[in-house]
Amino acid sequence: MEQQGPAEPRVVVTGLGMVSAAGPDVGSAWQLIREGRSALAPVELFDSAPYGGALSGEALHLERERGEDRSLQLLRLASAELLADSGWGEEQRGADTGVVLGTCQGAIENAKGIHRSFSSRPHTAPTSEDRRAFAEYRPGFGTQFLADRLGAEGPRSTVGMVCVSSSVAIIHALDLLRRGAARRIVAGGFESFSQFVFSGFHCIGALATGRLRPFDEQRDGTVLGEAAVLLTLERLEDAEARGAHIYAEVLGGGYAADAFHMTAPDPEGGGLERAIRHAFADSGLGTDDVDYVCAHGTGTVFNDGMECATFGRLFAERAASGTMPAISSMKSVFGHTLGAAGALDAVASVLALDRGMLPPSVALEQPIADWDFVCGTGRDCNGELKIALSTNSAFGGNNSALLLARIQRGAQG
Amino acid sequence: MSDSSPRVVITGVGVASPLGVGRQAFAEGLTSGRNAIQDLDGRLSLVGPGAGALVDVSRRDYRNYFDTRLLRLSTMTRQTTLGCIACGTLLEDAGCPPNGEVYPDRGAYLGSFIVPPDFAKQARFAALMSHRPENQERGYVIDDSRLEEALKVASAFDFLRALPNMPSAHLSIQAGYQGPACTYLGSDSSGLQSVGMAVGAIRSGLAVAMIAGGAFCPFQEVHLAWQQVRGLWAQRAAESSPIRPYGLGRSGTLPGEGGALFLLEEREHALSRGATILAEVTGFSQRFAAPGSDDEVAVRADALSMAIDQERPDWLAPSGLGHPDLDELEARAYEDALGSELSSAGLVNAVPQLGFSGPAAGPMQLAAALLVARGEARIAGLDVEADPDCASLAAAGGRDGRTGAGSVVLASSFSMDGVHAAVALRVEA
Repeated sequence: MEQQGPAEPRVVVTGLGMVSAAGPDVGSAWQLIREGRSALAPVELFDSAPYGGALSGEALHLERERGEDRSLQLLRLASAELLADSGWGEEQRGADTGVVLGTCQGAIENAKGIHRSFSSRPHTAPTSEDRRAFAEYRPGFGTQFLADRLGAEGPRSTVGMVCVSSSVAIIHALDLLRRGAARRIVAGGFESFSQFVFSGFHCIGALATGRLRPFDEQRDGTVLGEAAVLLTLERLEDAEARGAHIYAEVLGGGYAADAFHMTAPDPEGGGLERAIRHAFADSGLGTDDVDYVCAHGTGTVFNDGMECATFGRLFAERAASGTMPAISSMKSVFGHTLGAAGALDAVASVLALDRGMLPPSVALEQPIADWDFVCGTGRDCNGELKIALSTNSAFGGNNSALLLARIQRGAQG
Repeated sequence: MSDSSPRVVITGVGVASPLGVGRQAFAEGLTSGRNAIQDLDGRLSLVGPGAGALVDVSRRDYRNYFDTRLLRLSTMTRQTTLGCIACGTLLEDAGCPPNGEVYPDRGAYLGSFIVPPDFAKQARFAALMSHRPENQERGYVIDDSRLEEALKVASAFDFLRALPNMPSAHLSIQAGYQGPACTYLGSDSSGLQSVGMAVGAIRSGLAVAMIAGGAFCPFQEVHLAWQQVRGLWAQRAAESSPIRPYGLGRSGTLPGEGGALFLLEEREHALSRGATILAEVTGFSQRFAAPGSDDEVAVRADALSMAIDQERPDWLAPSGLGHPDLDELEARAYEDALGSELSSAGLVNAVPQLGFSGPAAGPMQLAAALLVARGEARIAGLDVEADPDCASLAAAGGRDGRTGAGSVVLASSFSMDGVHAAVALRVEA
């Protein structure tokens, strides 16, 4: 694909909402990032002793509403922050506003309730009491829930692409805005921590025995977390006209499949490289333009090895000249939030661009490559951070890349 | 859609349906008027209507189309299997069967649904982990001390099967398509949404060819029970098919499984490889209206108008579920969107023959309409006494539209969730 230059209309991020293990808002998440602290702690939701004990990134501060699924709680809290932060009001309701969300398992805790209900009443039809649980179990319910809350009557879709779900959702939102299908879209993802998914990761041996250590020689697995992460995307001209704070510009995105294996990534990272090259072509940028890579960095041997193979090939000239872009992973702070991971990494990148500070990986002691891995605490970059690349990969061989840019303050009028 | 965007055409149709597998068998099944709804006698489901339409394939049939070395049967749910078999027939139909090559500029979008892949196993798992509270007649509590025992019946494959991207991931691996891949979830319109989004991916230069459509198996307790709670299933009566779209006394629909996929290509790409062009995709739209809201009909009509863009449709392929309320809303939306243009269009509704396959239903209807518009299949008229509130679409059910080159198809999925998608095609010679 040939480079084409920035596409019109330009699309910017004007609001953020995030609930995670770090706390109920973006501020608490950024504070942890800045201080280089991890929110991971022993599992609270269920007894993890039979699994050998493990850490998780649970949003323990959640105040549960009666009967509400955990994932919808996360969405409700994040959407409240998003609306306040974006300044969207009555004018932003209607057919020009869309919602595109990603999730892996949706309201999985409700599924557990449904299973329990069936276990107790085998071979019988459900009662009307099950109505809410069934309705919320639909993966699209989160999108519907949010659209109703926002009064969004424009395009809506739910992307189910496991760990790239919410980054692909952002890319789809970008495409819809560029094609004029909407003027503004809430994009992002949500995922609740659940025993079902935890058991699955346990079965495939993907959980860390101790700390989550992305890109560390001693890494041995990931730690699961939960989050709802939302961004308001709108046209630059609209954002400027209403005097909104512009966090960053979404320059482009791309996604591609490995077409290699159901669980293992292509060890050479061919799919990830294609996704990144699509993003470059979409944005008119090249490898020399990237200042920071917010990598997927799950802490598993295979994923981090694949990413390093990709980055090493893609940025070969910069590696040779000692000018690799800075790299870090947010998983060590928040855990792996699956369907919300892409949006979480995008928000970390957006905040890094907006606040001029590189987010660190936590617990990185022996990097697997001699590159510029950001570790310790947040690194002040004195205004040098202009372009961030956020990458994600998933089971099934799906990969995504987003390119985000610090907005030129002059562009705001 | 700007004039400079690449034109997108359909060069293949792949179907795994209760009427047959493959384009020709599907066309013959439609023409025969055969009703695939059958009594399930308690098979496959313990809840729900007890009847439905099954596809006569097993996982082994997958080997008819794909290299067995690529088999990942243990990570395939029934809906993934149906999608893969439909994909196998699609690639044969389009003249580009898998050949071991990989294609970085081709991708796969699929509409599907998260459903526990093996509910019976999940239930056993839950039962193992739980016990009934003392002095209570019903209900269980999860007992974490039994977890170790329960984990013995779980496997990594249980988890992997439940991952929502498995259908499109399988398609991309088996076809060697390394471009964009995505599984859309969340509504019965996801299949047509996938088609529309795949058109967008080609027009924006992400790919030159895309597999797109839907695959779904509703015969799982959670899904059947959920739709039962929502009142979707028909009251079963003595008649051969209780699905009576737009008819008086209609009471709902019945479940059917299936997969329907299209190969979408940039027109120039299709021509350069000598492909047969079946139709051009001329329009797509998706809109949303909150279920039960005042503007539901207007929003649905808007989705149709945007997709058809002032052309005169020759064939209509609406949802046509036979649901008391949804059929009426649908008929009013078509009337509002098309007005007098409705008077010459014919109706394609295969739901009474196939059952309702959720996110696969839209692509299935689109495939049926395309084959009818091309003159490859005929569809029986509706055998119902028309409901006056649905008169416009019921009348179309007794009419043939124009067939052959230049005829126009308008298909739509109107989901109970309020997501409405519409796709328009123009048939090529």
